[in-house]
Amino acid sequence: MRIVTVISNYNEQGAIEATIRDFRENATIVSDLIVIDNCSTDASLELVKKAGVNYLRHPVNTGGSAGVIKTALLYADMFGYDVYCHMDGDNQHNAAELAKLVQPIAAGEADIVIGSRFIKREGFQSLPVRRVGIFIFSRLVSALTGQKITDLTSGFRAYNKRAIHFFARKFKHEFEACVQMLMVAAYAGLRIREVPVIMNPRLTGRSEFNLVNSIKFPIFGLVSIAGTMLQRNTIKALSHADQC
Amino acid sequence: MPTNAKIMAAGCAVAFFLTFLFLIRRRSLKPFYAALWLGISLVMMSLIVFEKFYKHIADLLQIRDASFLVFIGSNVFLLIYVLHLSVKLSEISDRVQELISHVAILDRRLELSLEPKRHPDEN
Ligand SMILES: Nc1nc2c(ncn2[C@@H]2O[C@H](COP(=O)(O)OP(=O)(O)OP(=O)(O)O)[C@@H](O)[C@H]2O)c(=O)[nH]1
Ligand SMILES: [Mg+2]
Repeated sequence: MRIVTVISNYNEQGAIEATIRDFRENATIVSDLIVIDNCSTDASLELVKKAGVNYLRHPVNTGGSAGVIKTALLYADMFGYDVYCHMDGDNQHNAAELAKLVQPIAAGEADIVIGSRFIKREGFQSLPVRRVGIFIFSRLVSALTGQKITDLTSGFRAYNKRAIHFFARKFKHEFEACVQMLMVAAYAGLRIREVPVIMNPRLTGRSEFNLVNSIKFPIFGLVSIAGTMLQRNTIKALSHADQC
Repeated sequence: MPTNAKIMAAGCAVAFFLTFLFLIRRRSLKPFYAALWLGISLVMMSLIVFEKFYKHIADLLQIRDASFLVFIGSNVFLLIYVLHLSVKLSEISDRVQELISHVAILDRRLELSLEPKRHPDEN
């Protein structure tokens, strides 16, 4: 089984080296490593090059972390990987737990595995406001898709070949990685599974979670949910189609 | 329409048409939008030339004031047009994302394939 682990980087000069080191020292899976840089304006990409890690660089910023996932999926599909694991470049995810993400895929039990910090409720749990938001939306999406999800916003995920191919080649739209991507995945017949993980607090850099996004997220989330429900049949048909 | 208003409307229509011609000359408009704006400037001019005709339509629709017809008409048109632009913008942003992903991968492949060739020259 060929695995690629992608570290998403946007202006993470304070954390990217530690993230790479964590992967090199603690990952127990056999996996290629590549950093995808969303056109950082700080020194982080230089640090990646210095560390000797393979990398891709977006020529412009995609205005959010979902663009990196899209590139990662395309990359994994192009180079025939069986599994794509995603880690954030802010060192919030622990490479030692990658094996937990890959296990259900290797066992053929899931197509997308999410590392959830809310199953065991250990480690960094993020701000209460945000936690409530995640809780409500996770419940809502779980109810609508029939798949149990507790941590929608977790970027710590693994995707198998089927999921990679669907999002890289068939679903030719931009997506928002939390609510929309998972709902689309569920409607496309992909099996989502969660495993408990422990996340670390963000120590440096800027979070994607800010005032504007905390207002945007619930509104976009609801629109996403309604919109994706309307697209349900189209998505199902897409998942059965052979070509894009 | 009072004469002053007529002159103003005509002035607007002509200015609009000239701007349109200028944009065509600069090739800043795709044919579809060029045709659309040509149509609009013609409609604007026709409002002044065929004032009676529009009054007649307003009467048929039982709208007492013909200017109200123009007002509603232009609002509906603008709403549809803005919606159309939103759709186009979303399509374009999907395509841009696709291109960004491809460029990122191709760029790196190119870089890697060029790298070994650079070394012999340097030595
Ligand atoms: N803000 C932002 N992050 C990006 C972008 N592209 C990639 N990323 C990466 O996406 C990852 C997730 O972003 P975060 O801001 O940490 O989001 P989060 O983990 O949900 O929020 P926190 O829990 O507050 O850290 C990080 O590794 C970023 O480096 C971008 O355009 N903007
Ligand atoms: Mg983070």
